[in-house]
Amino acid sequence: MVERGTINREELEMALNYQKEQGGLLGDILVELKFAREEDIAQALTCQYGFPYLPLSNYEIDPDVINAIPENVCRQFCLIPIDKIGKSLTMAMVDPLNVQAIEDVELVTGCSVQTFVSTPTDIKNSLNKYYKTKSCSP
Amino acid sequence: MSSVFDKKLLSTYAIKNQLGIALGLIGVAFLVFLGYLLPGVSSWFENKTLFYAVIFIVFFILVLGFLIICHIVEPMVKISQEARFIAEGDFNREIQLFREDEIGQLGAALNHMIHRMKANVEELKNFSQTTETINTEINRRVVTLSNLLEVSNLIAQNAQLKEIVEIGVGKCLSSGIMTFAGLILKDEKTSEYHVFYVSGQRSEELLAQGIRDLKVTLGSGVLGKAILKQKPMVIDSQTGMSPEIKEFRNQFAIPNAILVPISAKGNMYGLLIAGNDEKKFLCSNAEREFLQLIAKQIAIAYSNELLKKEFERSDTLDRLTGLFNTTYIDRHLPEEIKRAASFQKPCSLVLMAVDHFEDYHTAFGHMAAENVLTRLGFLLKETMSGLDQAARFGDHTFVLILPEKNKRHSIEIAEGLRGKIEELFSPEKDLHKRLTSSFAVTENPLDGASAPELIRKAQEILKTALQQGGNRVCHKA
Repeated sequence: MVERGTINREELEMALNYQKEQGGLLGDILVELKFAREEDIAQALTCQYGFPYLPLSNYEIDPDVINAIPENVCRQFCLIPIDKIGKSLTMAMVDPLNVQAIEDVELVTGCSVQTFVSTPTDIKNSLNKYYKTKSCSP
Repeated sequence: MSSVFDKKLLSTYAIKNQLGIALGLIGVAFLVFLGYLLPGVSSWFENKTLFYAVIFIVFFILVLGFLIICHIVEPMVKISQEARFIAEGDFNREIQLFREDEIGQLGAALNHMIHRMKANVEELKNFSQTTETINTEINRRVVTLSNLLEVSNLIAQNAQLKEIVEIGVGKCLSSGIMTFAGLILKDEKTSEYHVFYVSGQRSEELLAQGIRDLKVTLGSGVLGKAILKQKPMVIDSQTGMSPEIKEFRNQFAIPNAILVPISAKGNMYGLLIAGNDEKKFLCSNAEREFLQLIAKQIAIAYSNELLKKEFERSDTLDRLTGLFNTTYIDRHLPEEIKRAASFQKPCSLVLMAVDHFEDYHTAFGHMAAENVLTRLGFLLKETMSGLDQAARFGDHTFVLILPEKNKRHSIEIAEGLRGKIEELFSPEKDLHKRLTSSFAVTENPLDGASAPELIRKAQEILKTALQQGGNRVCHKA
């Protein structure tokens, strides 16, 4: 993101200091400190690692698919299942590099997982919409 | 004009007269000599015309002589006058004589001397200024060092943080340049930043206005950004007026300030603020460096305070095994789960028990049982890596906290340990001494969102594992 000019080095250092102090994901911190937008983070992941980006705002998810992963797991790892065909599950997540989370989902569902990148807000909104709860914080 | 004339007269009185007398004597000698050579000269006086002609020639010679004297004396008067000015310290004078004789050379030599003297005086002046600057700097450093020593002594004497802060922050005002100083510190329990202490101009007023209630949010506003930047920030007469700067100036009622983060080993503890209300204030490097040193001292004092508190509550080790105890687990597990949620990572909890340990205890006695636990403690300590931690949870049960490890990874670790424990006791000849162990693996978030939930789940799984004969790793599918 520094190379792309989305953020500068000083902002990156400030965000890293914040992370050291308060914890959390660097992407979330950059957004919280208003150095970048959620879309910038998602696009950076898309560009750097080649994960496809999926805007969830207008995406309809089958309730049966939603039930495949427990809500607390979705909230902690900030992910949401979006499709399931046979033993193949597709899900959108904020950090598709979170291998532990993907393994956990595979363990819980018994499916192999395909991942899309999405923004935290989109995922939280979808979680609230489909799990019908008010709380959103992981 | 008349005074100059007087001065000229006075100054030349002796030399002019002496030259006049000398010239007169030469004239008389010349006349005597002329009378001697020309005996008929007295007859000239009988002829009136000749007499007047002689008188005229004599008078002409005298005027000519006087003019020559003036020509010699005038430049000397000038030189004498200039010399007097120079003697009084005016090195901007110059003797202007356009002559090539000895007097002209004397004037040129004097001019050269004046230039040399002027250059020397300039050099001396510069040297004096440099010396003065060096002395001022030495004095400043001595005062700085003395201030720092005072704070260091307090730290060495293990003084209260409040006392060290009061002295340290007070030192920010010692140079007289800063008229206000304050300190923002992190609350170690809530991790929030608050105004801890203010001193100097308008501090009473600010306290009355509730400055202590000011909430500092990391990354927000001047204060929050200054803490995160981890570099000194200067607000002075050259700083622009952004909304954040304006807000800061209003909050602390100071137009100028130096904000220095309080941090040690990369940990942020707070922010030191020193400011004044001078209209054309420009922050100097010396002032900034001094404040950085004070900030460093305060950071050391704060770290010490944290260490002291940590030491006071450090009774978290199990004496027999050297592992952590349940007190540590009670405090640490919720923190790790919170951290895992914050980083969108899993956190596993593994409960381990020695199979049939009660039977072993009964058969071989207390000492042998304790020896087994000590060996297990050593093995667990050796096996744990990175963020992983092991603790003694009950008489013969142990807990492993495995941050950032999911169930699959934790099962692998548990299997590895089970094998090592089996191997550890396998050389025993007595079959009853060949101890094995059982493991229950749980993971946040898969098996629970809180520490008690995970522990309860792990206990249930472990019970099942023991009922199944032990020496196995179990988890909820």
